[in-house]
Amino acid sequence: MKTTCMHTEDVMQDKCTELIMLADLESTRKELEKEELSAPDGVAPSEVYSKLMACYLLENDLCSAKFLWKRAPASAKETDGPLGRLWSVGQKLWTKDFPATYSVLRGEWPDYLQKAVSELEGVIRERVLTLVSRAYTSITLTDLAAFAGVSADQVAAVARERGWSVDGAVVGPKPAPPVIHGATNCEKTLAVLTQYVSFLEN
Amino acid sequence: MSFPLESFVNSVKTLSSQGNLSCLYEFLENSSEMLSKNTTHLEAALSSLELGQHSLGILALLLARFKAGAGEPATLDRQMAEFVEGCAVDQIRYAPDSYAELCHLYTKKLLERSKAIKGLRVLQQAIAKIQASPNQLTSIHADLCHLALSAKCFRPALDVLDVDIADISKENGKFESRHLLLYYYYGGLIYTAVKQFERALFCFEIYFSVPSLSLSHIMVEAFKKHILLTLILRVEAPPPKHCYSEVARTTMGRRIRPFCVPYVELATAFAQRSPEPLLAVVTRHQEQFTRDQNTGLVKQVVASHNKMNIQRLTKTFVTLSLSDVASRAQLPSAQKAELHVLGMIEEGEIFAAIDQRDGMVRFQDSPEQYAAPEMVARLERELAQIMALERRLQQLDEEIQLEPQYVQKATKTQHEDDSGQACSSSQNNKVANNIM
Repeated sequence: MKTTCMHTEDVMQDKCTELIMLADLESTRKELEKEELSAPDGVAPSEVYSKLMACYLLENDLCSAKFLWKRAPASAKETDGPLGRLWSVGQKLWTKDFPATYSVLRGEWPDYLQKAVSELEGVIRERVLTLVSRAYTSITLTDLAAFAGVSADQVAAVARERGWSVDGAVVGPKPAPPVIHGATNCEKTLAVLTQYVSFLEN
Repeated sequence: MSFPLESFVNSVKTLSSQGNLSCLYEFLENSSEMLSKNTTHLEAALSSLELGQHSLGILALLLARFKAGAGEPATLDRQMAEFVEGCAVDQIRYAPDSYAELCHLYTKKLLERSKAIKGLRVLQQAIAKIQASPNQLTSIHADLCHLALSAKCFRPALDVLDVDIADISKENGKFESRHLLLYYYYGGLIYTAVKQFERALFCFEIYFSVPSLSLSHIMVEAFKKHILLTLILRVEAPPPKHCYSEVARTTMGRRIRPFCVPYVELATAFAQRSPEPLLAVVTRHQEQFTRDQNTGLVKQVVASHNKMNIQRLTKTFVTLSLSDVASRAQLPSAQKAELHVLGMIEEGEIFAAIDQRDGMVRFQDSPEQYAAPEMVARLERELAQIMALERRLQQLDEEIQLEPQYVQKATKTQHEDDSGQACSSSQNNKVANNIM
């Protein structure tokens, strides 16, 4: 009996580590939310809460992350536990304290969260760098290093990778080139347009 | 099992198998007193009935148990969950008021035990079962939102709130205005919590359109939140020609304003450029805001005031140094100004480019060309919504025109008009004759 129980737990852990991938984030999140709501007596195992928090952070849904922290039972909120540390990542993201975010993300994490946390670091970096390319025409290397969470010597390489010009201590970000969209179906568009015109005429 | 309960069970079984459900409903209404006297034997009665065939009977028994407050909480929860999952929809549609009352009592018990999160799935299922269409409002909706707020888990409630309401379930006359008002109030609170401020504003505006003879506390609280949200969103209050009659809006405004003096003062201070009057009002009425549990929203109003000042700058300047931005928007330092501007660019509230080399900010126009596929998709979605709304309005219009009361009234007024015209024309003739 005991060995079969442990086996199921291992299988569940493996399944869940696989599940947290960007490709299928929405369905993972829905599964976890369902699991939280159907838990006996309203208290789910603490892994569910940590995984759900990781999903919210990956989706950049900081409001849901905040309320998850507020409603999680005390059993899941152990000091220096994974849920608490994930929430501190969320807090730093809220106040846009990026250097602190990266330093928390680089700590020790349990097995089932390893993949999620490394993905999270990549996702956050990508998001911040897109924002920088939209918002800045020139930014100092030190600030860019703080935003991207890389060391001073690596930051120039990161900038050059994206095609940004590096001029001494200052970098010139360029917005990403606009995406070229595929052609649309003409007949379908025509049918839809006819529908609109007939509606507007009546 | 005691004799009255045995005969009760037998009557339930006979009437259910005959399919005489309206009789069964009346019988259950009459037996509620008997059931409340025999609470100890209810468990036995419950086990002798079958869920799929005798849903109405089980509903009455469960209601009696919940009213008496007896029994283990865990057992009651389990029985409620099983009932909601397995009950026969056509049977419970005969007793929507008892069904709703059962849900109200269940909610109350969960809130007392602070186990609100357990009830969310059950109530979601309960609503889905009793609704005649997904757009119908029941009194259970308010319970679901209340539980969601208490449990701080909003997803199940948001799924229900995102569907527009087009119909109200009368629940055999037991649906009260309180349920409607509470649903929209809690809904507004939930949307505010997840920062969907436009939908929250819509929920709080319902108060202007619900006719009432006297004010209720819910309306006053909703009005306060409405003021705060208009300040956070920096939009004008809806113009008088909006959907509700101007008279209703101004009367409501006049009646409610005396109860919300600090908020009205906040709105007046917000309109000024300097943040000092705003902060002064906030400190002066701090206690009132804390009592109303609106301190979080008030802080967001102050932040919104800063944003408004920065937005004003985009209308006057094309390029501005960060230190000038700080001084004009009354921010403490250039770094703070940079962070603020960065935040606003991220939210899409302004379009600008920061140049750290010279410490300048260049304000730009919106780069939106309205030509991208995303914009087309958005247009299609909104047009589809509008066309669906128009179809529904046409349907409602047809239903009203076929209503016998309306036809009677319409023909009556027509006759009066005709006879009135005949009278007035004859009078005119008489006058004309007299003159001549």
